[in-house]
Amino acid sequence: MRPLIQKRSIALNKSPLLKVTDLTVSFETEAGNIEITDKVSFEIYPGEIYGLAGESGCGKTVTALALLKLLPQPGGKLLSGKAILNGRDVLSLSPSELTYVRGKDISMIFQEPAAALNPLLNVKRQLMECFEYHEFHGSKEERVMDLLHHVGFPDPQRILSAYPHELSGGMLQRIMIAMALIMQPRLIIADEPTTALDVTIQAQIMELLMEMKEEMETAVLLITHNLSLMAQYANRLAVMYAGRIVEESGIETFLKNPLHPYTQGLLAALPDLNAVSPELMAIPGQVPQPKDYSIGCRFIDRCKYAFDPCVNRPDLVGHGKRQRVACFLYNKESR
Amino acid sequence: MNIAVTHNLKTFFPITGGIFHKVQGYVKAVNDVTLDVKQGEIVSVVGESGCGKSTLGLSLLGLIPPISGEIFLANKPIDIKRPASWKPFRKDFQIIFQDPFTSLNPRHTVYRILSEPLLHHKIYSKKNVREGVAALLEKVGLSPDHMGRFPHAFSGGQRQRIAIARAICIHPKMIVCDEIVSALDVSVQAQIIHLLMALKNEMALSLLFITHDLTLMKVISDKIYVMYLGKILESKPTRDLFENPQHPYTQALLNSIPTLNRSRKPQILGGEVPSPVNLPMGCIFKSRCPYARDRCGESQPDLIAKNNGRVACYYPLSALPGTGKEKTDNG
Repeated sequence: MRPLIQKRSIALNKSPLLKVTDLTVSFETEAGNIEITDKVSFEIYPGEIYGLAGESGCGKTVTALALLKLLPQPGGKLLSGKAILNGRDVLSLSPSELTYVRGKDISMIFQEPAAALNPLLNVKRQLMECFEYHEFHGSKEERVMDLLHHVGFPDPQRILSAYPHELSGGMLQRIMIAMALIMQPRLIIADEPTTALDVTIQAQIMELLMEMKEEMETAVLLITHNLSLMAQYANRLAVMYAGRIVEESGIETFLKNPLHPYTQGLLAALPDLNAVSPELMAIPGQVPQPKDYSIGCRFIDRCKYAFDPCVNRPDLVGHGKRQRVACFLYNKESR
Repeated sequence: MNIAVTHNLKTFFPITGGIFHKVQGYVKAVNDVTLDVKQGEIVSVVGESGCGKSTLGLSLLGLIPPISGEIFLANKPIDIKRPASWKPFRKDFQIIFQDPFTSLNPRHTVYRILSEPLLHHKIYSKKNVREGVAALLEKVGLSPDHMGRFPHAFSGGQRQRIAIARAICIHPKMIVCDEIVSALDVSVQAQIIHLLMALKNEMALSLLFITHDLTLMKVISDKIYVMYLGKILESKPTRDLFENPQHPYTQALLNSIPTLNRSRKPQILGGEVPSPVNLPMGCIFKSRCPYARDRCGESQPDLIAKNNGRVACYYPLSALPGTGKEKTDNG
């Protein structure tokens, strides 16, 4: 088989590939403008898998969509923030400039492949669309066939002429992955890439994504609510709660020593397959609705450690070498 | 005592096409399923999406009529050809649905949702039904003040509490729980499970869980049925299933669940899931089975008793050399 990629010389210095600062997104609702994410900041380094975890509605998908300026319209609005990729702020680009970033520098794997692919066009049309916007040297058809082969289709020719409804969820997700890889992007945003799939297929897809990532030296922003999946694949992760990042750390540190009361609760709420007599711990209360978001710590109502300073906004501050946490329990200066 | 039993239950959905809507084939959603739930037991049916597990639950309660097979509810046979034959059992056999956002009528208040069954089954009279609803709400951890609200005013977890209240209000013997926590956030899931377990113990309920979440079932269920493409491939007491899976599919399911343990790599199955319309010759799991041999292509193996449970495989794992399972079986 032909080599799938031209080796890219990655700089060995530790400068981030993508640096997101103070990303705030608001949505227009009947109740006025509501800030769905609140000053989200993180950095992704070349070749790493950076996880963004959190429960539904915590703003993780919105963060990803904002990076590609794909916020749902009307309503979605970027209030502030920068996302520096290759020395340019992606968020300040014009729509036509963005076309050249999407697919080439950053590509996205969407949550529901069946909804993300166009049901009226065959797979070939949808895969080849990418070449209309980006320069490519070599045979386009061969490139597409190679990729399909790599994502596990023994007969790419048949797949190319198929329509989405003729394929299973797992197959569609593999096509999405192939599509995201065509231009060898530097960053792939994978938004819940396996949520619609079954565990055995999930393992297949994740393994494939990891393989491709290794081969192409791409960074992956993995968005999922599934902490076990994170534990398995991510290098570092950030946990979001109610629009804010509450904790960020390397995955091993996170599993061993979660800092924020919310992340501690989340890990305890997961049933453990290996435990002899597993017990489920519940976090009392409910996730607040965006319209009820407060200035202070948003976990305050559910937190057993809540104390006076928690009515203020906790900043995400460093704790030790590899962790950042937004909680006054660890923030000595503010106490 | 068995509270619900099915024998060789089949539920097929016809696929029609052409100008005369001729039946061209069937989706074999439930294909020859035999299952039993005993009094006070928590039984779960586990399988991937599209394997027919929800249809099985609905067919058991007659909400989707099966086409053949036998059903016994509370030891009484059901005439599956007559939808009305389920009616006397409705009070004792309840269901909680997956999505609390669609299973509650958005135009009814909580009071109306909960008072309707109470009045219909004459558990409370019109005069004091309000007290009954208030007591119910307290039982499921909601405030009686919430009575006048509509479902949209509640979060997913709270709605599932209302759905639970609706299911338990008429003191059923058994509840079918169809993916009741999969639409909820992890931090709320445990709350709902705790609530249901407390009610189960208090009311001596039997529960039939229909779910894809094996990890959760390890925590709560007594017996697990593993379903794949409409068929039961293995059934066993929970502990046995986790310690000593016999079917290669069960093993793959257990091994591909991601866990917090980073050193444990998931097992990767190759192959595609066949379509439930055109089932292949032979064993339905053949296309993905790492151990498939010639005989597997000939016919679907029957579900036969083995050790503590039943398994539908010609070459169950304990019989395979080199899997390391031989010893655990004999000793």
